[in-house]
Amino acid sequence: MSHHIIEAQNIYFNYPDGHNVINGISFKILHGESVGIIGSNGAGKSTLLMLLMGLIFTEKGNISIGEVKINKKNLNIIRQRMGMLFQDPDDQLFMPTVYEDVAFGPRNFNLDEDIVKKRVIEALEKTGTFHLSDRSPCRLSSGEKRSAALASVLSMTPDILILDEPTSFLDPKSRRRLINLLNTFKHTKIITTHDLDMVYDLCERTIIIKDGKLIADDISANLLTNKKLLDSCGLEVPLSLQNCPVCKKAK
Amino acid sequence: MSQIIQAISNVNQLDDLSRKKSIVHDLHPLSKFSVTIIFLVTVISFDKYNITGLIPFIFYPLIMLLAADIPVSVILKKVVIVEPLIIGIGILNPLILKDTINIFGLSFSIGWVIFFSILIKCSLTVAAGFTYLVTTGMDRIALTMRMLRVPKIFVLQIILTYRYISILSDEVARITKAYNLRSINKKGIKRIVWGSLVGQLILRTLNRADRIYNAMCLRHFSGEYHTGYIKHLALKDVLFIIICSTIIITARIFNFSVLIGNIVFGGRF
Repeated sequence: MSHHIIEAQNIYFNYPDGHNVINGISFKILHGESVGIIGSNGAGKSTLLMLLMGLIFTEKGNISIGEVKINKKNLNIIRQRMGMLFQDPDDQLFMPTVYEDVAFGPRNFNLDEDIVKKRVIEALEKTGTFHLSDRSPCRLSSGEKRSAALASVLSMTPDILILDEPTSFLDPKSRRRLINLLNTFKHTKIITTHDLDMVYDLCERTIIIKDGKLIADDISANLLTNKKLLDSCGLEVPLSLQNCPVCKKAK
Repeated sequence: MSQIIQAISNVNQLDDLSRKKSIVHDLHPLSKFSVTIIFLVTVISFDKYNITGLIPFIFYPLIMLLAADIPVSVILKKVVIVEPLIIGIGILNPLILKDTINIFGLSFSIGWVIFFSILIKCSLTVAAGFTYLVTTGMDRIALTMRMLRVPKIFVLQIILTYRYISILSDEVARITKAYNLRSINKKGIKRIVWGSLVGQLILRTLNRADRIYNAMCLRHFSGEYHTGYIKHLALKDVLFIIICSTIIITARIFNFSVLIGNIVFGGRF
């Protein structure tokens, strides 16, 4: 079995106050798939990502990456395979310079400093942030922070990329650049977002969740044009797929 | 509001200054650490009545800052912040000790002499500490501590506390901004909401710290704080230690203020 296959089997998660956030979700994501997880606010998207990264653990059910089950013992193996981009880049950037931040992960692998440098430069160039290397992350614009945070994930050379609201804070040009950049990442991608146009652009498959339950799992083109389904889940057809608001003709 | 933004910018300013390129920044952190320790021990070792002997020690942080192209005012402001604490410690001396002592042929109250001795010593040590921080950077200081076999848990505490200060000030700025925008024509923060604001601040900073810690763990952080490789001590670093410590120890043995005074005023002191 490919070491990139992600499988969730009937998983449940409750917050300490008893609130049931994930309610029996099951899915299987194959190697190289790009999957969008969508849902209204509070549907459980971010919680699901945290479960996938082993930041929190399921109450019932299993999640496995390849042959490895996600539990406290296997966290190191899991995290070597997966990289996560946080919703707020300020949570991800904590070192004094962008270079140091991008180098933080590779250095924790105890790699030789020359290899660390090579990885950092590669990641910075890929995300177009090389010119920011010596800048302090707190002095960057939101878009620059987002790109630097992505570089910090890419420098770890993950097999699976998990992105939580990657286009939030971005202007249209930066958003387009990020989408193009993510398109070049050939391994598995899991993206939670409210930007359904991005899902349509980037993900061939979409999972819709509502109140912690999996409502639909299908090809993006099918789900994102299903107005009735999207409406029932508090979502809307992506702008790029909506009819012209004046003459009502398809775009 | 502007004061809070200023405070945040001050925290970041130390980091920014520590990344400058200069002959002092380029020195090995261990060499600067050794000289700073020698400086601190020497300053503390002075007799409580010896004010004149301390005066030449002002030149060490001054020269280091000038060579590092760092405005002296940055460090002066930090010293001024701790000055009330120092005054609080030393102010009882002039009130209790009324005897007099003869310096340069003039009689001074022993209490005031001790007070100024404490004031100068503390100011010098604080200035030297900040000079080291601002010319080295917290990460390199951490690395130096690890080289000196300081336990990693202790180094980590220092580093994370230092980083927590910026998170804390960041959150304070957000909270006060939100408060001020909804309390038009009112100055300051009402006492009645202080409790909830502080509570909110603690919760928010803890949550944020937790998220940052998660981000660290996802990048394989295991308690050891890696800040990259560091060069071995070079000849210039060894020379820096030898020259500086020689000057500092010489200044401890010979009272340069008195010697210069004697030369200028023809041996009257």
